[in-house]
Amino acid sequence: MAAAGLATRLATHAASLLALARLARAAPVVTCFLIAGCGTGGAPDSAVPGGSAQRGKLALQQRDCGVCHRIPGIRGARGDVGPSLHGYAQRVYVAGKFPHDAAHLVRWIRDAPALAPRTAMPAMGVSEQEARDMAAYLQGLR
Amino acid sequence: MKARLARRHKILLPLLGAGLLMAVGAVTAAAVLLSGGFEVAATRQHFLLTHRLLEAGLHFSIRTHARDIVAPELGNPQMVEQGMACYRQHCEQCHGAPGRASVPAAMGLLPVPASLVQTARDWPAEWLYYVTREGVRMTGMPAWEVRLSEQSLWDTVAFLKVLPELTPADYAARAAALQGQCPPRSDLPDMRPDVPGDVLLRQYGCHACHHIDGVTGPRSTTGPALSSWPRRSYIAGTLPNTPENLVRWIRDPKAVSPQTLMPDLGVAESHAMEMAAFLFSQR
Repeated sequence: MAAAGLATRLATHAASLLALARLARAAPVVTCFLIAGCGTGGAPDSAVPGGSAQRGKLALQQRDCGVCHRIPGIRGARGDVGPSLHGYAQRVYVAGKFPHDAAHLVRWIRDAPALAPRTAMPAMGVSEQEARDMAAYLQGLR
Repeated sequence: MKARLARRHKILLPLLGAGLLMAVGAVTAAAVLLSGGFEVAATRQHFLLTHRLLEAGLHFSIRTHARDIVAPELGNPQMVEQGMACYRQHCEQCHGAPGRASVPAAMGLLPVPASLVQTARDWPAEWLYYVTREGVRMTGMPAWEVRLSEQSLWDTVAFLKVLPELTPADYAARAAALQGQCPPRSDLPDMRPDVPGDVLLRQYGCHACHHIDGVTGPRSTTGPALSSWPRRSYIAGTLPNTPENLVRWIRDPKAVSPQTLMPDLGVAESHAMEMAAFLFSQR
């Protein structure tokens, strides 16, 4: 009985500790906004010309990108064949090989082997427009 | 009753006061930190008190942590010569030498790299060995234990002990007469195999580009995050993810993926194996 009580109490403490930890992580950002003027640097402007993140989300879903990649916001995208695309906007390089800009990302999505013959990522056979949309969605992942 | 209450207050009030003081301190520290008022520029010097306190901390820490180290016989001229080769190759750039300045990059460092002539005279050999092997955090002094063999570390210490006795002419003459080189660690049989993988990942600076679970470092997104490594199917999107392949990749990335931005870090094989073991132990 006492043990069960202790366990519940511990669990509650753990939960509040977790919440605290989350708060602590957010604190610098919040404080930055409060104090203002402390720019966080962050990724360069990542707008993909002509790309729509909304359509991109759909395209990523339809093209089953989640079979190989974990992609936040895409249902069932829990693949571990390729790397997780979590926080993709922050990435400095595409596939660890090319500067992360819209042009490279779009080309990579359309035909990765054309850029890096040994890559396990297949040519997806998506249209230029679809690739732009996908890139727009990925570059919105912070 | 009243007396008990009074006694309780006697304990409670100072405790409350101390708590309040700490809270005020924490808030002030946070305000200074977050306002950007604290200047990190290396052109600003420490307060004298800060400097002295840090020095004292260094002194006592080294004294404690080097206490179980026993120096071998250091008088052997061959050791001294080998040590000079290492000193010339790895130390002189920052620490200078008799009659020789350090390189420009080292001159503006804060703290300034010590003039080892004095350090070598004042410190026991064990302390010199300890600092050379382990480095000193936040000073720019790296740990040489993964780059120099045990023998080379002691050779270097042997040379340091001779250093204060050399005139600029002596130093130049010895430098000119130097035969051997400081052997790189990977070529040596006495590599310490007990440096764990996470320490090695840090010692090769992997976390400058990669976020690595279990390694504290910058939030870098230059390379991909190394989290949940065993779940990966491919290394660099190319090689099947096995420990053997990971060792191959770490030691020669360009051979696996010619376009990769990952550089060859000159990782010794046993070190790469330890790193791979660490990454594969992630969940």
